[in-house]
Amino acid sequence: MSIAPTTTPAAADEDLAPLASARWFGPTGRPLFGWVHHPADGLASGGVVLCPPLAREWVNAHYCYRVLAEQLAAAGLLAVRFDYDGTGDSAGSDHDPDRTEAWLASIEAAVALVRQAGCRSVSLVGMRIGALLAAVAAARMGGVSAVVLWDPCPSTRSFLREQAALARLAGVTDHPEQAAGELPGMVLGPKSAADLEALAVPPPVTPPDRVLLLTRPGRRPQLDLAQALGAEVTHGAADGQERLLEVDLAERQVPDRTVAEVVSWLRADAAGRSPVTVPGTDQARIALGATELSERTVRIGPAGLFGIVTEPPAPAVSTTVLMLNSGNNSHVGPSRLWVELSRRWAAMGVRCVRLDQSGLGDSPTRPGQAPQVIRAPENFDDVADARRALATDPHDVVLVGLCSGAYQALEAALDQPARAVYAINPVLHFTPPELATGPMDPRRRICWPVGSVVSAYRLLAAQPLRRRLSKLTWKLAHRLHRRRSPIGWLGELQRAGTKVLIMCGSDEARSFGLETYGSLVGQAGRSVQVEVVEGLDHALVPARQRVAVAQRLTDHLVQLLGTLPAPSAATPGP
Amino acid sequence: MREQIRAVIEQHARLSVPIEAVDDHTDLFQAGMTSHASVSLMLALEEAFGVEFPEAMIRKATFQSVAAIEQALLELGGVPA
Repeated sequence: MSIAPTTTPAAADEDLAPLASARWFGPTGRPLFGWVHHPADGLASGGVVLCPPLAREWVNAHYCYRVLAEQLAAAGLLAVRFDYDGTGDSAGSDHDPDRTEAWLASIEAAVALVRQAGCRSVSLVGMRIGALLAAVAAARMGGVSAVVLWDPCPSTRSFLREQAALARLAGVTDHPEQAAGELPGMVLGPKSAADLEALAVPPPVTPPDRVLLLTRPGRRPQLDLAQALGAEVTHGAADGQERLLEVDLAERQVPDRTVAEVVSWLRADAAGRSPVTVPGTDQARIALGATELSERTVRIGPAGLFGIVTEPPAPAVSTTVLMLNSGNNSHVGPSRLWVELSRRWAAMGVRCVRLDQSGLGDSPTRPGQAPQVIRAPENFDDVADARRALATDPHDVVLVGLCSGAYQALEAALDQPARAVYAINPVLHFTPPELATGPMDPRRRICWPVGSVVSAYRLLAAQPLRRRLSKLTWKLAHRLHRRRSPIGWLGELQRAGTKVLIMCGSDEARSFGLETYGSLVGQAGRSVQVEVVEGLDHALVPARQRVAVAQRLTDHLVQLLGTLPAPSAATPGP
Repeated sequence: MREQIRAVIEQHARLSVPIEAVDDHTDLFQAGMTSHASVSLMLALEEAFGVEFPEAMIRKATFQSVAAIEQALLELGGVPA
C-alpha cells in the first residue's frame, strides 16, 4: 500500500508531471490551502486565480471550480483554486475578525502564488460573491489582465439576505435558534457582515485589459460592477446557475457550456507559453490557540485518493480518526465540521484524517467509476485502503461520518472492527447506484434497498391510522431481513468490540425502529448508543446544532481514548 | 392578490405538481418546493409586491401556502408592483 504526499518535494519545483498539486501558501503563520492546476508540459500562457463563492454556494460550486481549473490547465493556462482565510482547509475560522479584508488578502496571496509560479499575466474569475471580491481585489492590486464576473450577486447585502434566508428555510423544521449573521455553513460576526455590506469597488490602480460579465438569463446584468473596473466589457450568458447553485448537492450539475465559454475567453489572447513551476508546500503549520498543529496532504492507495492529515504536536494515543465524505460534500465535511473537529482533536493529541472517497471532492475516480456518485460500491475499497495506509493498526481507528458517510462508516466497521464509529444521521434506506446495471454489491450489509418490504413499512408508517399495522410490518421486515436488521448488526459490532455512537433526527431514527418499536436497539448492549435528537437537521446546517454534536462526539472520544490533554483555553471549538 | 401570488409560485417555487393542483391551503413544501426554491420565491414575491420580508418573517410557515403568503403580504402592506 502506498502513501505519498500529493507531490514529492523534489517534484514540486522541477517535475510538472502531475496535473494538479495541493499546496499551502501565503502567510507562514496562517497558511491558505489551494490547488495548482498546470499544463502537463510545464509551459503556460498565463495564470488564472479562481475566487470561490461563499457559504452554501461555495459547497455547490466546489466541483465546478475543479472542472474549470482542469479545463484551463488543459488549455495551456495555470489555474489556482483556493480557500479563503477561515474557509475550507485554510487556517482560521469564520469567527475571526475582519473577514472581508482577510478574503481580499487571500486573493492577493493567490495572485502572488501565480506570479511566483512564473506566469507573467494573471486573470481572475469570481462567481457570485466571489465576483465582487475579485473585482475589488483587481481594482486594488492593478496589473490584472482579465476579470470574469460570473453571475455576480446584485449586492453584498442581497448575498447576505439570500444566504441567511436559506439557512432559515433549510431542513425539515424552522430553526428559531439561528444566530444573527448565520449563513449556511458559516457565521459572520456583526462587524464582518457590516464590512462586507459596505464593500465597493474602488477606482482601479490600473484597469484590467478586459472584463467578461456573465449574467443569468432573465436577470439584469450588473453593469455598474463591470464598468467600475474601467475596462472593455464583454457580455455572456451564465447558463445553468440554478442547476448548479439552487439544488441539493446530490442534484447539482456543472454548467458545461458556461465553463467552456470562460476557458475560451481566457485563452483567446493568451501570450506565448513559458515555463512554470508549482510553488507553495504540501504541509503547513496551523496555530490553534496556543497549540501548533501540522497538516499535510496525502495520496492514498492505488486510486490515489486525496486526504489531509492533521497531526498533533505530540500524539497522546495511537488511534487515528478517519472522517468520510457526507454526500457530495468534499473532505471538509458538513459546514466544514471535519476541518474544525480535526484541528480540535489534534490539539488534544489525536491524529485525524479527512478523506475524499473515490469520485468525490478532490479524489480521482477508480477505473470505470462515474464521478460525483454517492454511496458508490467503490467506497468499500476506499475506506479499506485508507485504513491500511493511514493507521498503524487498521483496527485502531475511529470512523466518523454523516449521512452517506455515516452509512459507509458503519459498513466499514462491520467489514473490519474499529475502536469506534460515530454515525450522524445515517441513511440506511436508499437505492444503491449499482442496481442501475446489476445486482446489489454483496458487501452491503446494512443497506435496505428502497423498493423492498422497507418501503411498504415506510408507507405505512406515514399513515398514523395504520400505525399498529406498521408496527407489525416492521417486525415482519426484520424477521424476513434478519441479517440487515439493526438488532443483528449492532450486536455484531458490539461483540467485535466496536463502540458505536449514532446521533440522528426523528426521520433517521425510523431506520432503527425507534419510532414504532421502542427499544429495538437497546437490545444491542451498552456499547451501542443511539441518540435521537429532536429537530436535528440532516446536514447540521444550524451552527448551534454543529456545536452540540461536536461537543457530544468530543466527550465520547475523551471517554473512549482515556485521558487526553485538554485543549488550551484559547482553542476555539466549532 | 391570490392570483398574482399563484403566478409567482408557478414561476419560482419549482413545484412537483401543476399549479392547478394547488389550492389556497396546499402545503407548498409538501408539493415539492425545496429550501432553495423557497428563497427564490421569497425574492420574487418581494419584487412583485414591493416589500421586504423582515428577518422574523423568514421562516417556513410564512411560505407554506398561498393563504399564508397572502397573510404575510397583507401584514407588510404589499401591493402588486
